[in-house]
Amino acid sequence: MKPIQIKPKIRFKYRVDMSFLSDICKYDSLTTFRAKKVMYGNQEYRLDNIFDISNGDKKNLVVKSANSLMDNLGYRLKEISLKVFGDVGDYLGAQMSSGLIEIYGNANDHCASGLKGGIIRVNGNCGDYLGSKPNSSNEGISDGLIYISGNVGNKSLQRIRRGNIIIEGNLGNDACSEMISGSVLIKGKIGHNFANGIKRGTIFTTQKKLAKNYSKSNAAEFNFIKFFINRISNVINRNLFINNRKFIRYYGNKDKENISELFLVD
Amino acid sequence: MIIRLKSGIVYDPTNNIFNRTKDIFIKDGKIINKNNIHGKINQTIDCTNKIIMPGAIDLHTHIGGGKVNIARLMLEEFHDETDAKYDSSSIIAPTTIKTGLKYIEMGYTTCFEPALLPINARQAHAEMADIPFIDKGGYALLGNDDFFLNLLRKKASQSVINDYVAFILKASQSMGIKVVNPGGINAFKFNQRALDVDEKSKYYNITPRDVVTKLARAIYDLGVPHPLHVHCSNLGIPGNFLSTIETIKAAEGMPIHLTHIQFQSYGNNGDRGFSSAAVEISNHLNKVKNLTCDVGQIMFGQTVTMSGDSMSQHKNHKHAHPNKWMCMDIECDAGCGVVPFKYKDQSFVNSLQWAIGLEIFLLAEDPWKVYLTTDHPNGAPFTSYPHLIKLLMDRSFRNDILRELPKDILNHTILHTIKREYTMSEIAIMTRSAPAKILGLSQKGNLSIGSNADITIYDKNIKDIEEMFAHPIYVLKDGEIVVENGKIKKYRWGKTHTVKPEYDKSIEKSLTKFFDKYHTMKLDNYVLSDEEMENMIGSKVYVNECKYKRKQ
Amino acid sequence: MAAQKSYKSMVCPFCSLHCDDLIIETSDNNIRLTQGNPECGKKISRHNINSQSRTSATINKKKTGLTEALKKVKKIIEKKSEVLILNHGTDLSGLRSLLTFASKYHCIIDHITSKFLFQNIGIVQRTGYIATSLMETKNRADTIIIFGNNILKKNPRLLDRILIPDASLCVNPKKKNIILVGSFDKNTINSISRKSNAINVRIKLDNIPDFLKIINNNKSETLRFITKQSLVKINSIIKKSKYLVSTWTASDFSNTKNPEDIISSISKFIVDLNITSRAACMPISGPLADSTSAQALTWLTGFPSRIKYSNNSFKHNRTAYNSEKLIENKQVDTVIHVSNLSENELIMNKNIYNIVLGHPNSKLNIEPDIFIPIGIPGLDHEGIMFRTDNVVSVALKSVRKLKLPSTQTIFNKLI
Repeated sequence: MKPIQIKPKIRFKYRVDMSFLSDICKYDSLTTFRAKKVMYGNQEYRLDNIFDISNGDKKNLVVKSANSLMDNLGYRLKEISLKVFGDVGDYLGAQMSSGLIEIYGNANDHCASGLKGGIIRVNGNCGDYLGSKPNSSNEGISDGLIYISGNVGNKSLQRIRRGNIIIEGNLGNDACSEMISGSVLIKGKIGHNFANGIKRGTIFTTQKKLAKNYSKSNAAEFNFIKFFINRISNVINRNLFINNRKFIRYYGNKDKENISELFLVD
Repeated sequence: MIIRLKSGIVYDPTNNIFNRTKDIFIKDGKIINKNNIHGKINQTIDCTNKIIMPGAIDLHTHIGGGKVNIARLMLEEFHDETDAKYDSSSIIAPTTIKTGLKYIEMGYTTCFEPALLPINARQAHAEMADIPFIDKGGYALLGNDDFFLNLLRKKASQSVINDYVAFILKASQSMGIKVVNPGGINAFKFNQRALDVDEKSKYYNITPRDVVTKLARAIYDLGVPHPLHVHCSNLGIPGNFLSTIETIKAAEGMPIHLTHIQFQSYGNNGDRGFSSAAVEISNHLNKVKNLTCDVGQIMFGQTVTMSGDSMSQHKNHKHAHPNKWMCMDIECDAGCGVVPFKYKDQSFVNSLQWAIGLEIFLLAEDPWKVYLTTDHPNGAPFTSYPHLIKLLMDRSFRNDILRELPKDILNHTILHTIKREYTMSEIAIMTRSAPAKILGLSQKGNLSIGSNADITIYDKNIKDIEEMFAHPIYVLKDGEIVVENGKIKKYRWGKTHTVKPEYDKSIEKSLTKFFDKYHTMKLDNYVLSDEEMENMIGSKVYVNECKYKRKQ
Repeated sequence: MAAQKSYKSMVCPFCSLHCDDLIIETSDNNIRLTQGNPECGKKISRHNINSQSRTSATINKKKTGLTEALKKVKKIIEKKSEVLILNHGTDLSGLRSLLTFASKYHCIIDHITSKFLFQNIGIVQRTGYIATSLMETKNRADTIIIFGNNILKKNPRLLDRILIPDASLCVNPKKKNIILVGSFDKNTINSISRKSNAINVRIKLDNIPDFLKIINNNKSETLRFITKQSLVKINSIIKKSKYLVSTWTASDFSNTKNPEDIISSISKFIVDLNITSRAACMPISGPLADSTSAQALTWLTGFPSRIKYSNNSFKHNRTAYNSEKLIENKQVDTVIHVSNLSENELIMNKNIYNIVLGHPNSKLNIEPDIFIPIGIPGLDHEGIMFRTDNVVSVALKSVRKLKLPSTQTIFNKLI
């Protein structure tokens, strides 16, 4: 079956909460879904008065002509594949637990906030607070996979518990603070105050200065890492910057509470 | 406007009416005598095959005040309205509006907030004023405030203590007095981490027994209808049934109400040092005159615990789920602790807690002495009452759940051997008439001529008892139909119930001195007047009579 | 004719301590504090009506009657498609009526200092937290750590009434240890030293988390910003303390890199102290009724700020309903400013329709489309407001007769 296409009928002027899309499977038919009331500005509208919604597979959604006023796209998404063309607002894929989000455009702040599972692929840049802690929890991402082709803003990936994050561009300031665990791969430059208070986890970077406080491991094959990189490449369907590159492992930071490891990519 | 409830099956325990078909007439918010009807009957509700009971009364439910609001703030993730169904998950730390809606939909018309800090009374009443439909009231917390403990230390006479208690009732617009972990909350401020009934607090050199004895006596002397409401020492600690029994003795024969007694009936036998002492506690409950209790049943699932007992809540914070919590010391008055918690049916301790609560219900010989509560939200949200009623009325349902629990609890509970099933009459007693009686609410919890027309009508055709109690088809509040066919028909706002025993005003002189020196507000700002209650806080005051006026 | 003078007691609405022991002199509705802190006196006199005060409503600068103005507001609101109510401070009844109004017209609500509120709320919503109140601090605290220097300026009576009072129930008020973290001027330190044992830890506020970490770990290593000697001294004070209170105000940290980290490190420091001893936090909130707003909104909607009424309930979103961004990006077409308590300048965007329910002495960066003067709770009408510790609320009195309508009256007429 073809995917359902969702396209705005009007030019948005005010912010619009798109979290209703994640509930689409709860509706028996698309007719009832289209009749659902949503808020735009201070008016309630029937969904089909402000969006064109085609017929198709409810587990397979495509949003066209998206713009940065659309918040909460893919909020608490579960077992749905969502493709978005255009920029999006805040909280893309927040607290998503499974499924796939792929966007062709830029995501604003708090992308993947409180991610619990699933895959988010951003073919563009991300604003600040990527993978932020939800208001009510002291941990950021608890699992899942994030791929960002562009740059990421400040204060990202705070207190992440698990998950794999790949950033092809640059990463802003204050990233990965108090990181609990998980793997983060960054190709580009990294801003100041990186990984402050990190406890565990694995960092892949090209920036030599980050290895300063660590001890160097003995050279080894690291076959598991190669396997891991290949596997991720397959999942996101793309060759990673790290494929077939040499790397050196660092461990044992001077700060005793930090037992993370770091791979410096050649 | 006259309403006739025609041919309903009436349960009115106060008037000894059980399962009797009769008509009820209502005018101007009151139940009236058929013979006094002049004029036409405006509305008749056919109640054939429907059960009519007085509106239910919850005498212990945390619905307003600082700690409730802390929980609302802390547990933001549970306020998502999109999933709001009739499941308990959506009423974890509900807003005031939702609290009222859920209560009235279940046929509850009167509720009491048991931990109203006098210093926080303005807030607690303002919150409760924003709860629609129901009548409400609160019990003022005493027994941990520095002024009172100073009185005890200075060996003040009983009559001075009585004056102080009466002043607090008036100042905080309360319905009774509650004592939480007597002296213990205060001792925690001096870094004491436990205080047993006969243990002296380090700073004031006073035992919890002293506190209970003096306060129970004061309530009796003042003629306040509701006995001293006691949350005992050592809450939740294995082996604490001994403290509970000592607390009962501390009342020295004065009336006393032990609240959420399930949390106070733990033994420390067995490999895990945790067992049921429900039999021991029930023996006392059945034997001792002037003793009543509410159970504080736990249910499996997510909830949030909130209590004035900062000492025990600080201990409990290690079990917080989700992992966040808050404790607070409050204004030389008391304290509070909010710890979210999930009772798990695969946990030995939680399962046994569940069984202990049910044991106490089922071993109680007199339903007039034991009341149905979950200590909302500490044991479970109040929306689980219908489920609890089914557990009490249906033995096989109860045993089916018991079978799914960890097997080793059976060595420490006798629940599986208890054959008793509660009857509809007994449920009517323990949820309506008995609480009304113990609170001194003469116009509630009964269907006598002249009483408030707070009435709940259940559909007997609904076979599942849980469903029947969860969704009454009609609820009347002060003679107005507020729920019709299970749907909210009309918003209305209830009153605040208080008592105002007389006292010697000279106590205010020493209080003024104390306030000016140590407090951070003036005494006259501390006192809530009836005018302020009505105009600023937003709830009218209804003063209930005290039993007698006693010369000091 | 000579003006009639009279003396009255007053409950002060103008800072979050809400002192209720003030005596004022009124003559012709002019209010003067007869005794007490001169800073408070200055604050209070700013609310007197003067020749520049706006005591009547205006539409497009033209004076008009209240009824006319309200008619116009109603007409505008019904026409507009995204309305923000920006609360600059109002009392409980104001908030209740504001919420009823918002639920009728599906408005967004934000408080002007929500940013600071959320920084403090993080420790409640995400971690363990131990708090205390003013009276506990006054009577029980033997050691107090003050983080940041503005807190004393903004709350002139905090020191004398709460931190170093004349009388304490359980401790000797003259033997309190006051640890001042941040840069404090000499006068402040000297005046505190006269009444207690004061120590100034002159570190950058950004270094607070590191400072607290080394105190707790009790490591001998010295950091760049503090000498070993003073570290040992502070350590021994903290170890001996029986009831330690940390106090701060979130706005003090607004120029630091990561205010939330600072606040959570203070909170964690306190939680850890409680393993063996007693200690608690006492954040001081701002003067614009932020505690009142957070409390009332929480019990009525479940959320402390930044909410919008949609699909039959209030929804909360910290970024989407952030007034600063909404106004800056013109994502609302109308803003209703509600400002009962302060004459400070209201900043408006000229490309948005601005309605001000304002203090008669309000300073305005541009002329709003509609201005309606409103009374001040505690001066013109009664009211309830929450103190900084959130557990105590005060009953404000009416002390002058200007016949200015309350926020509640205005909103009730608009519903």
